[in-house]
Amino acid sequence: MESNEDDTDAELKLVKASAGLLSDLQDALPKLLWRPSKTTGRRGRVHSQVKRRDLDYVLKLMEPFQGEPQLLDAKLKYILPPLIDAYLEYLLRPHDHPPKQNLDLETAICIIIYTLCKIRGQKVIVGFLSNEPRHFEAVLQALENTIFSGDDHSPQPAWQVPYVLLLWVSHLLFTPFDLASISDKSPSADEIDRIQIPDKTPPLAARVVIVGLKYLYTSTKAQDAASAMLVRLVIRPDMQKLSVADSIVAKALDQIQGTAADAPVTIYERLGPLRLLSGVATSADLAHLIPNIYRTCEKLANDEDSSAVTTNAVAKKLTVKIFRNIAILCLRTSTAQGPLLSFLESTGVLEDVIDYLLRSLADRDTPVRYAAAKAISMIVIELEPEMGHEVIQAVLDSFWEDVPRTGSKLDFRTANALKWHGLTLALAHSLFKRTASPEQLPDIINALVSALQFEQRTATGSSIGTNVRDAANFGIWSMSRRYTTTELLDVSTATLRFVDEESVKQTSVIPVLAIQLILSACLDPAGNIRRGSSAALQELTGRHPNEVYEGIALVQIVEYQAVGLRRRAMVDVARRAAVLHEMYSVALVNALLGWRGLGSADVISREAAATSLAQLSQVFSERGSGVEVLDKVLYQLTQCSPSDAEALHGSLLSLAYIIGTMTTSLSTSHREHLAKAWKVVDRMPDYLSNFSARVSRSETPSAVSRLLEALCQTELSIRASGHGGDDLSFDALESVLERLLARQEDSILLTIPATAKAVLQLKRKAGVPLGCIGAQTLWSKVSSDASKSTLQGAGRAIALGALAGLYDAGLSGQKAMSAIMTLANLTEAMNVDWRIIGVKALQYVFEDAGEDRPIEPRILEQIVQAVHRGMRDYTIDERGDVGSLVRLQAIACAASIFNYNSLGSFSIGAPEILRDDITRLSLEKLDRVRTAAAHCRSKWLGFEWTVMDLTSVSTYDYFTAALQPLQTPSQDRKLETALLEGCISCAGISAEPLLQASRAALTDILWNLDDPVLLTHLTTFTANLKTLLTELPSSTHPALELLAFLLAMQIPQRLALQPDFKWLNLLSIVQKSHHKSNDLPKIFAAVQAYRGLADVPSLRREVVKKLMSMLRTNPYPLVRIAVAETLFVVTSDERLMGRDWAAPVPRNRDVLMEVERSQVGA
Amino acid sequence: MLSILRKARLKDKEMRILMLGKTTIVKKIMNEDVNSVSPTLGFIIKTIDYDGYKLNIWDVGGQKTLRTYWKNYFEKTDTLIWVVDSTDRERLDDCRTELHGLLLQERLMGASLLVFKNKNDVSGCMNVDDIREGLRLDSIKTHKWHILPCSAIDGQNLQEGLQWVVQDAKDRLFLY
Repeated sequence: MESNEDDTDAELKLVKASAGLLSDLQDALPKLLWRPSKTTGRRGRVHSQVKRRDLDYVLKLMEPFQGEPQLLDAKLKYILPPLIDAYLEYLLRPHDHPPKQNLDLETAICIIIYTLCKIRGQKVIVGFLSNEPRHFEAVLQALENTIFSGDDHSPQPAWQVPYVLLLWVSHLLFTPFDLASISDKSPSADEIDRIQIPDKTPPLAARVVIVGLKYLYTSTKAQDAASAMLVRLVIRPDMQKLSVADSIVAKALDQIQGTAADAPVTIYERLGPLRLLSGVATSADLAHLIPNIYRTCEKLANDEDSSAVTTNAVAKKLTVKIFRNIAILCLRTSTAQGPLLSFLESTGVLEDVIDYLLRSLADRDTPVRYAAAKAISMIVIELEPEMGHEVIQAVLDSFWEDVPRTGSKLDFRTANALKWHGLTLALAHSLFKRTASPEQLPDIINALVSALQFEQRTATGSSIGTNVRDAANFGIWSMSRRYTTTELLDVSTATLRFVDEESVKQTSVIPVLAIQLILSACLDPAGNIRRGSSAALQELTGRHPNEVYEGIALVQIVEYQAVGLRRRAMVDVARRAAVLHEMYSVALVNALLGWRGLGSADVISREAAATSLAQLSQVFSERGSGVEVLDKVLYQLTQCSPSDAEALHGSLLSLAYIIGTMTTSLSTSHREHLAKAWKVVDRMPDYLSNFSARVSRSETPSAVSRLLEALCQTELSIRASGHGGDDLSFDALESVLERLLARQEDSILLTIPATAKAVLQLKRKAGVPLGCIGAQTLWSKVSSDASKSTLQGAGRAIALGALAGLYDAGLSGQKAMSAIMTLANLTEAMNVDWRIIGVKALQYVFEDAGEDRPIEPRILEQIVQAVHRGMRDYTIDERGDVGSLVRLQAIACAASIFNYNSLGSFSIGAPEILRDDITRLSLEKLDRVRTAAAHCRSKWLGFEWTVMDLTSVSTYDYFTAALQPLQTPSQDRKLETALLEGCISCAGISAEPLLQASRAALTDILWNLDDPVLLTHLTTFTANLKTLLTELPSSTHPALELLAFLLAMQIPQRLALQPDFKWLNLLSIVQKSHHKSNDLPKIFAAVQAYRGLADVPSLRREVVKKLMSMLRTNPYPLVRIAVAETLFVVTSDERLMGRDWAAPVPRNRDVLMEVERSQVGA
Repeated sequence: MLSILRKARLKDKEMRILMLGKTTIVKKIMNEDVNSVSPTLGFIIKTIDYDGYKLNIWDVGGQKTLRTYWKNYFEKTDTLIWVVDSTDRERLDDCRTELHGLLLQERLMGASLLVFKNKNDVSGCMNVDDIREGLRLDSIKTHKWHILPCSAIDGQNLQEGLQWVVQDAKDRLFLY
């Protein structure tokens, strides 16, 4: 919904790019059409085929203009004539070999011309086709070829070919010469028999009829072109003389009724004739055929059973068009005499057609409603004004058939949304043509204003009626454009219903309409409605100068671009419009309380509405009248039923925001209203009585929480200024808070710290016991809840974290210590979610810590240890690496600790243990964790790297920078350990690109180290591996992978002869790592490591022995195969070849004995 | 709605003009060679950009044989341009009958009428009032009309004619 902001950007871009596109197009076309000429700069011969790729390129240059076709106009006269010249030249040449991969030139040109027709409209393009009669024969021949080529095995030509050729023939039929004089090539006799046309028909016309009828039944756009061509043919004066139309119409009528012998089978075979009839019905010269057409169609349209024609949207649309054309014809000729006059007089054709159209306005198919609406407006133009106004009145009256007329509030629940759409559209079209009488404007405005607010919710909660509002915009836009200021001013505002009382005070309808448009432009959920209303507002203001108050400013504020994003429209645009005049702000407030604001279906829109109301409330206070908005929201709240969670959320949230903005300068009336607002607290327990999925999804509880906070804060500031001290309903407050603390939803947890703090302060001030937020109450509950499998009560942990520093002065003393201990213990809870909550709660501890609130060292130590545990949380369960969630939370918390440290005087130096954790995690393979840790490391730990996004922490350069401390000899073994441990994560097993980047960085660093430094690193790595074996067995596999990789790179081997490196130690750890393991990938990694370790002279014998023993004892055939391969690489012993190592061990025992004897010695 | 607005804006500035009688006038307006008129085509379509408007001129020859086909071109015409030869006194009556017949056509009902009094450069031609009376223009109540003397050869008043056409369109588009 929010993505359409780029709309106009795209338009601007296109305008900029269009020059380039067009010149590319002009360059590309000749290349596609002609061979380069060898001699002169002139064109060469036309190509006979075109590469698909070249065609696609040309089409790609044209497609962008679909949105802004007029940009093409200037160049059409350079684009089309070459296409047509080339095509005519192509027709004259023999071209018998059909292309295989390529398209023939005919298809290519027709596809290009079709694309142009699609973009610019066929009427414009057709004008460029040659109308020289001498081309008639060639073009018609080509068209006939598209049919007859179907006999052999050549592929069916693309439908664009007949489409374009049919258009062309239609164009040629404009020729003012007798068709008989153009060509006398005759079609075959049986073809003529089939089509049953008058004998004297010129052969050329007969051929046109044959191809036309052929394509009339197809399912492509060629059908449209074919019917247009046939109509063009039969209304030619020379064809009229021959009555060609009579026979074709008779055939078509037979077909749509399904009475003919060759009755149509598919829907397209009926749509074609219908389309043809709708064309014939426009011609006054063929009036004698009209009665028959009308009777047949009327019968079909009213036939309940005739499934094809009364259920198909296109068929219904065509029927609407036929009726429309007939009605218009009748009206136009009624003054003169003719066959239609008696028809018109003898039947109720006009009444019946109008009745049918009015009924079609409620059709379930949108195209039918559009056609019917347009048809009504066209017929009304032709009618005598009085009758026309009657029709419009009928439309106007239909609006209120299914909507309660009583009451001033609109109630669309019983309305038929389809009908409202059709009616509004019909009205809009009539206004666009200025056919409604100015006397009808009051009713029209009532209908349009109502339609602009039309909304229905389906049973599933989704909203319908956008199309009704869209049509209303169109209507208001048209009315503003077509009716004079005086006409609009004559409408009395007293006649208006369904606008708020503020509007009725206005003296003219123009500002009333402007207000409605502002509301729609700022608040409507649909982007195109907001923009449409903005456009209509511009029209209204501009066409009727000085009628809308501050009109120019208004139009600039409520501007097309600005209303693109809903939140911006609701909050910023609405506020700026409200500042202009009170009538705007009052209307906006009222509308914000409705379905477009607080009643929205989604949380985000309700939040925007609440924010907007708070801002408008400030606008009111600045005008000196402070409490209206608060009053209205409070009233709204009393009207809400406790079960309507969404509306409650909206009202409560806006109340919270409004109260939140009024902490300064409170007048007496403010305080009275606050007292009213406190009464809401009494009802809050009802709102939170059941936590259904709907309630928590609506975020009502978090709104309750915010309201509590706002109320307490305001009360505190009142009391601080010496007022207040009223009895507040602390019991209700207590019960609400207790309910909130028992929850665990994120939206609630987010609000708890602020609320808990505000309540604590107020309770202290009022001398009321702390109750559910008392330190002891909280920590005992938290401790017992933490052992449960659900998160029930997580709110208490968060509150405890937020309040820990407030029980005594700062984070010191026994209460704080106990609170922190409780939370720290959470990081060892069984349930991973509780561990996350624990770390999260600890983070809130630091929110208030600062210069004046020192943290007692032993408390800080507790926290640091807890966070350290969190960052080492590598729990993996069936959900995956759930520990990463704890690590992420712990990284955030660590950042808070660093931040606290940086505040200065109490600095205890960045806790080293956390520094190491962060460093390790900045090399983690999980993207989110790595990004967060890298961010923290660069912000607080002097790591010089700009962390922007995921890619910035996934490159070779990043890893080089991150591993930089490894390059220098250092005494800091812990940091070294952390870095190497981090490497195990990213360079052991991770995603391929990450693996490559990190391994490359690591190799390059290690490669350039001096031997002593490398020795320390490898010693540390060995120790690391050893620790992992016992502490984190799941990490040994990646560690082995990394070791195998480093050995394969021949890096550790540089120390092969160094007596100081304990090679045997490393070997024994590797052996232990896969002892009795059934983790095959891990064993493979170890085997890989053995291959490298065998390079070390002092280990070679041991390694071979180990491998031999694995060959002999390992139960997994795959492992044995791998071991045998490795052994062969190490020993090059030919006897290992040609053996099936997957076979049971005893079968290979003989070879093993031999090899062992020679390699290891007896 | 936004697409309707866009279309409406596009259409507002497009007009269809039917010119009956003299191809050389269009050629002159388009700055093409007036001597290369080919009667074999029967009709031509030209597009002119004038004052921000796009004028699609359908020009159909005036020969007797072609007249039966005029009806073919009436569809959605905004302005009818009627060219009279101001040197041909004999055919003026003919011309009037033809014109009044045309104006009865239902498909030309909304169109405005511009009469070009051609060959104004020839001395001894009829003046505007002669034509006006000869064609009984004052009796035309169904169509808005205007008469201009012009010359297809030296281009006199042709631009003024287009100016009138466009101004007429602006007037009709209420409150443009």
